[in-house]
Amino acid sequence: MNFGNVFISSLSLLFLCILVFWLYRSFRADCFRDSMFELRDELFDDAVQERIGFDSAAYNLLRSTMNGSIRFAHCLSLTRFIVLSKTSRPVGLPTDELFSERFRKAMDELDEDQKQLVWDYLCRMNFLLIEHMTLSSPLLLALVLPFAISRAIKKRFLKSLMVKYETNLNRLDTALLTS
Amino acid sequence: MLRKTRSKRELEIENAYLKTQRLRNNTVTIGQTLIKWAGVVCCFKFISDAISALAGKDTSANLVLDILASASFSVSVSIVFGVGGVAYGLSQRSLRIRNILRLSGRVAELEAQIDPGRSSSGIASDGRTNEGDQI
Repeated sequence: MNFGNVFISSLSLLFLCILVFWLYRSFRADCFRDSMFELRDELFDDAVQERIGFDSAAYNLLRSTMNGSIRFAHCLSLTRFIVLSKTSRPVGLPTDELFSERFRKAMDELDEDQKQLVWDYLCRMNFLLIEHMTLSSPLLLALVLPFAISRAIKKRFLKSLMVKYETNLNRLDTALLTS
Repeated sequence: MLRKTRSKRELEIENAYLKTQRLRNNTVTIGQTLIKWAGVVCCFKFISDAISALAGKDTSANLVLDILASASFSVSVSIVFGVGGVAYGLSQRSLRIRNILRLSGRVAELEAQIDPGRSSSGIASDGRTNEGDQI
């Protein structure tokens, strides 16, 4: 291998490092913030439509948690999540400081519809967190991406087949139903 | 949200917990920074090794010619596309930041009219991380 090849290969590797470790991470943080802002706006709209009160503890707890995740999106990573969840246990901390305890108390004040609404928002928020941590890790992304792409293609392909052969499938369903 | 007054013991426990968390956070940050910079240092090491292997054998003009000769048409096209793509991405990003700066204040103002106790995420008004929150 001559000098020119080594130089160009090393330079390409350097740009790849910058892309993966700096530009891509910053892009993922922005994407996550955008999705979380969208979720927070939806929660606000639900409060405007009086599905939940602006002064309810559950609304404020969800909003504060979303705000925290938006603010610290740049530090949320799978490594940090694993290290903190495995090593940092809130031993001795007053129970009213724990998210689970505050969430449980906040849920007690709500009626069934509101509980469902808040639970739905919590699930969506946690889903966004997991998605962000997975996609912002280059190693995990390399493992997950091929499966995600094949799944998306499969889903789209099957959907297009179902639309294209809807009449034929209906005939088959009728035959199966009446047999 | 209003919080009840804490006893000295409770505050001490909370303080110790926050300190431990901060310590672990910093350890992870140091590890991640080391990995990042190790990659960059490795690339420079490859380049410097290649240069030192040729030291005294070749003139710098020959080295430049060697690089230019290695850059085939496909490599040149890839470089142009790569650099162009990054430049395009960065200009789109700055456009988006300008848009956020223009619109975010208005949204916050309108929301505050409906919910006076509205809490904020605390990020910069252009949507970027605050200087103080950088770990």
